[in-house]
Amino acid sequence: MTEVLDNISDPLQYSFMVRALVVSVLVGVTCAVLGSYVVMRGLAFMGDALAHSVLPGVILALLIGLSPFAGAAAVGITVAIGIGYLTRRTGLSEDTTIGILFAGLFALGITVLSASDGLSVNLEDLLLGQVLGVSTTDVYVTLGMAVLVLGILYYFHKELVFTSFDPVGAEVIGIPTRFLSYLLLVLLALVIVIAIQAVGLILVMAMLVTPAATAFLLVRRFMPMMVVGGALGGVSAIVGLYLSFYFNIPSGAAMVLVATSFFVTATAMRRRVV
Amino acid sequence: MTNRNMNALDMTDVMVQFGETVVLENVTASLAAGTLVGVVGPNGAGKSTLFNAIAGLAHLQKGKVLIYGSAPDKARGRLAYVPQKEDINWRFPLTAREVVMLGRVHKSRRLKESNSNDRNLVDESLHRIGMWEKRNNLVSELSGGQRQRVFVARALAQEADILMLDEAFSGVDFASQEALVAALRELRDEGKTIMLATHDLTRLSERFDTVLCINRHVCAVGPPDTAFTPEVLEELYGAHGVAFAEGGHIH
Repeated sequence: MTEVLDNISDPLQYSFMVRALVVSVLVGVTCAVLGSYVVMRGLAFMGDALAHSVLPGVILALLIGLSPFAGAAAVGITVAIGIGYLTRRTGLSEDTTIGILFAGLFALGITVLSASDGLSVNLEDLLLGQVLGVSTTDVYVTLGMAVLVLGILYYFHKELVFTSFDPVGAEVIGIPTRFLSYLLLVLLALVIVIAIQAVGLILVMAMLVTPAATAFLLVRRFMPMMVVGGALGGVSAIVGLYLSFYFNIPSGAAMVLVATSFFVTATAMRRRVV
Repeated sequence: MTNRNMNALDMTDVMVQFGETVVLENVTASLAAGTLVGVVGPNGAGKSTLFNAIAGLAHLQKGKVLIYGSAPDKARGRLAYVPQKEDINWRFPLTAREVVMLGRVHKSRRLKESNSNDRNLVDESLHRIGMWEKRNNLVSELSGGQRQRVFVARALAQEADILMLDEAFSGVDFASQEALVAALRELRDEGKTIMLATHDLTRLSERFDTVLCINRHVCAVGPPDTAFTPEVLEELYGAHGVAFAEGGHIH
């Protein structure tokens, strides 16, 4: 028993592990709570696309000496609004415009990165995350973003539920449905920016979708789904980080594998019930 | 609350256009408060667009809509909309009671849990519409007719004066259609104005006080027995519609 406790407490002697743990849990919880909307509104592809699109924003921000958060958030918001605009303007389906924008911006990001030498950013860290390298400032920024996103979700809860379930009925009653769908995309962009530190932009989608989808299999209603999803996201982050510490595997991949194993288990359990 | 001497709805020369396509034109009609109206027309006739225009969601190229004498955006809470089933995200896990509670969203205070008045109204609406026993079922588990009743209960909880039901009979069996009409008739008797869009011509004269026949423009409006002349039917449905009516389904 003491050995187990030691295994749990040992890594916490290192301040980088404490910082990593705080950031990972915040990311795991926030992603999953927002992810409940991503799953229920069918925004998984949009989330993945936004994650890839923020790459040039992060790199440009670093080049001109701004916080990568600012650059990523700016691009994320622009893309979120741009997709809506292009879809209406061209009459193409939304997944097509998402695909065009996301691949184009991702390519732009890689190009800018390779053209700018002397930049202290590692493409691999952005793609796969480097949570063991987060600074104290990163911890506070992550905390701030998490509180902001969860606070906004709480503030607009009833309206978001209404528009997600019945967009036309919500509009008739006077709820600003278009504003709310943009708002969700903006929140998605902000969450992606903090999640990139933990799991990298390639695996962000898993943190958004997998814990929330697992919760959907375990509980019947939406509020419990957000709570259980948030808990699963947090636990996945913690367990994943420890696995990463002891078995020397990339932390993002470890967290996603833990979340995925929860999903597989829940699916198997459900099959037995039904 | 409802002034029975005032028209619930006045539409004057309404025209709606999507790009180059004219979806509605020359729509002029008035509906007295406390009537049960069947909005009838073939698929694609503009019934949903008409509802959107009434709700203030469609841009009017021309004309105007008045709800109890005021502009739609001034009458937002007075209108309740029961969407066609394709417009609902059924995957979203809400219980019947939670859906009815949505009818209180615009009136409840932000960040406040619903108050006892809201809850009473919601529970009363569920009782009235016969959905109390099913209140904790997910709406996705309910039958088509039960779902429609849940949305009508939501309109009641909203304390709306005008109800618009889009394609309310589609995917609903005959007995449930009759039950829905019976429930709507009760609301009509309390002074509510109810518009139900359908492309189904079954038992129109038994079901509705007034029919509003739409096929891009208003083909006819009035009591079902007089509004459905063979000319109107032909305009709505072509020669096939006339044969159908003569087969005795309408009268």
